[in-house]
Amino acid sequence: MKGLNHLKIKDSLIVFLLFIFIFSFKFFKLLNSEGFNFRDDTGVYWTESAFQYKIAKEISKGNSLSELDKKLQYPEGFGIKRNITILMMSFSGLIYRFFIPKNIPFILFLSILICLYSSISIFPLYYLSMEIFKDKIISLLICIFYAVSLSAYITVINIGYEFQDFAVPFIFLHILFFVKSYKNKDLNYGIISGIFLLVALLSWLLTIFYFILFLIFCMILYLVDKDFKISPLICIVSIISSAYFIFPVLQAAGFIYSLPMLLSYSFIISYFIPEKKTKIISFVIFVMLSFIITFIVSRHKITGYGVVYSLIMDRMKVLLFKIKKETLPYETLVMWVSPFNSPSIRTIILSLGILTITGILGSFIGLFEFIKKERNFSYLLLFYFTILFFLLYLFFIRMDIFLLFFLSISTGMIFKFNKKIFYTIAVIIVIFNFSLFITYKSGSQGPTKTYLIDLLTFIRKNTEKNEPVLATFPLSATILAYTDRPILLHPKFEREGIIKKNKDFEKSLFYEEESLFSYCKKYGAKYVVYQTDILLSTKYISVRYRTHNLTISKDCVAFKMHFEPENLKHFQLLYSNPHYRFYKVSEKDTFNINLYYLRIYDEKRINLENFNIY
Amino acid sequence: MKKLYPYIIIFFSISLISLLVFLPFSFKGKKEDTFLADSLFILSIKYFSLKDYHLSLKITRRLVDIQPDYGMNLFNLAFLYEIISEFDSAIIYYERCINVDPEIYAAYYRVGRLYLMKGDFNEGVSYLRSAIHLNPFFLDAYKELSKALFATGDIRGYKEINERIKSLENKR
Repeated sequence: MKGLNHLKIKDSLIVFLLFIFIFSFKFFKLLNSEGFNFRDDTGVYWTESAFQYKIAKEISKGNSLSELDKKLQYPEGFGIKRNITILMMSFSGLIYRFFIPKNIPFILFLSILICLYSSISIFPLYYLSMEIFKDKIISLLICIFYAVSLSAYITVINIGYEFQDFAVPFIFLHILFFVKSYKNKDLNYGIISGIFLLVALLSWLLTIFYFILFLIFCMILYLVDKDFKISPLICIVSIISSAYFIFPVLQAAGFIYSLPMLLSYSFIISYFIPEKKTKIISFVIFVMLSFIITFIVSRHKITGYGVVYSLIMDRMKVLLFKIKKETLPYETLVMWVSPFNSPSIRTIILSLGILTITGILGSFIGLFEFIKKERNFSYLLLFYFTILFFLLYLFFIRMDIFLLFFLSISTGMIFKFNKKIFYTIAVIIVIFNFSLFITYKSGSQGPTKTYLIDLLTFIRKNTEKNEPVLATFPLSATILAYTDRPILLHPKFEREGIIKKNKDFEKSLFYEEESLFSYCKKYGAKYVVYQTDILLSTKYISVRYRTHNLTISKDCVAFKMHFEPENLKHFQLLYSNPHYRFYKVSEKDTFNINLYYLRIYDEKRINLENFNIY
Repeated sequence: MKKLYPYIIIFFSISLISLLVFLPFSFKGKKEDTFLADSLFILSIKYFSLKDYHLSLKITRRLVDIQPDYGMNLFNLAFLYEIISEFDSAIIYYERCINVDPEIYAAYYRVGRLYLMKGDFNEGVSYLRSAIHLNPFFLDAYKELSKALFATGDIRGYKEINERIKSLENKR
């Protein structure tokens, strides 16, 4: 552990001050975010964040997590410990339960905690920069670039409680210790690296996809580095694969025979084959087998990953073969929501600022250095991850947090050689990125707060605690979190069968009333929430778009729920606001309904042809 | 500069410890609860039905404090101010309500009436017209608007609105 000795107290202090800076800005921005309210948490978190918030709050109250919770997915039940990673929620809930005075609102405590743990990335960033550049000033500048860029803040200040904010600092720590292990030939660092990756994996299952990228890097390194050392990779693979036998969530995800793990076994076994030709042939065979096994497993056994692979493949098809997006299957379109969308030029500038240019430039300088002068493997790592995450970012906006980390370090390459323009470039980056960040108006990701609170309040006051509510999956999670009513659908697509259940519901909205009624009877829904955007939105994230109903008929149940509730036979309108209508499912076919006039539900005031309704 | 480092460390350590120690005290009695707003609402309705408008108003103010993004709370608060004849406060909260929820036509109607009472006919008429735009069947708003137009001497507008009132009353 000699590597840590060169770090003196004052470096740590400055990095700590930067950590405080990031934390304070996050917290300040969050408190001032539109829709954030720590006095009443109703409707603060939306969709997946609301789902996670609900679980964390249950843990904070000391409520045990049942094996199969029917409230989370009625009537089949949802196995919390098996279907999602609960480390983040357990961490938050248990700290609150045992250490925090209960007069501090849970949501306030949680916000502080999110700001704290999501800011930890600054430490691996500094120490990794020190490992690469061995220069305190450059390393500190890299940290400052990171600290003033919007991407380091965006998920938190837009009021999210997301797995990635918890897991990503651990992934960066894993990279730091891998670099240390590889450079210093110290297996202890390799073990630490493996442990950090395991923590990330137990916090966010999508870490598995990062591991594929990491593995490919190791393979490239093997090809270019004559002194290639496999031991750090063996440490990491051993630790994460042995965790499979302990953690049910990894077992449920079939982690031990997932694509990255199969590839890692292939690579490690092939590495030890002495004869070169046999090595290459066996590696190719192993890789092909890995893909075949993954294909079979994702199709037939564990379908959760299959959706992610399909999304990636379909996005490639759209990009390369110019296939029309609206022709893609529901399973792809339902995943193609904002975090999995491509960023616009405006978003790229806003989120990453000048670092996009300087970082990419720096990464190429690093590659040039690696090829021509210094065989420093860190430069290759920097180039590889910067370019790879940049390309991935162009597909998936959620990759910005990884990209920012590597862009910041790569920018350091520019300063390594020409110190004259050093300060000018640095000052321009800091001023430009900070001004973009400070002027950014943060707010909730959900719908208009007043209507959401109105709906949730109505449900709390007018329904029984055990009466299941059917709504679209983003809204369902919010209903669960703030009304404690059982929900039929949710956004946790890792749960087997849930995508099909969502699809059946959303498709039934565009058939006649009987179709939705039989769905409600099949799953035992007592109430149905109708949202105006079910009928009046045809955007790519809308229900109509993903169910391929861009042109619809006036006979469908969605039309009647919107414009003609008096003509429905099995759904009694109980309540309306300009965004939502709340219906009771009933066997009766005549109701007394009191219609409260709202212009959005007035057929005469909406040009139906504009919405392709005939 | 190096001499300053221990002081900086001490300063931040004390700040952090103070924050951790005093934060719980600063939230004494402000415990968040998902269902607190519901209880307060029921309580405010109870006092309203008992005609204790001041107490009902006090509770509703607390409600607005804990749910500032909810339009109906702002409407109720404005309405209570109107009942106790604090019209300026009522106008402020009706306008805040409209800001949060631009579809609450009842708020446009009531704030329009208050402006007319104050003698500000331009504002009053503008709000009443907005109420009618949002709900073209809002008979009370038409009646108020008709009176206002007559008072301002807009006889043509007055006649048009009266025609509309007649047709709405006939439909009833």
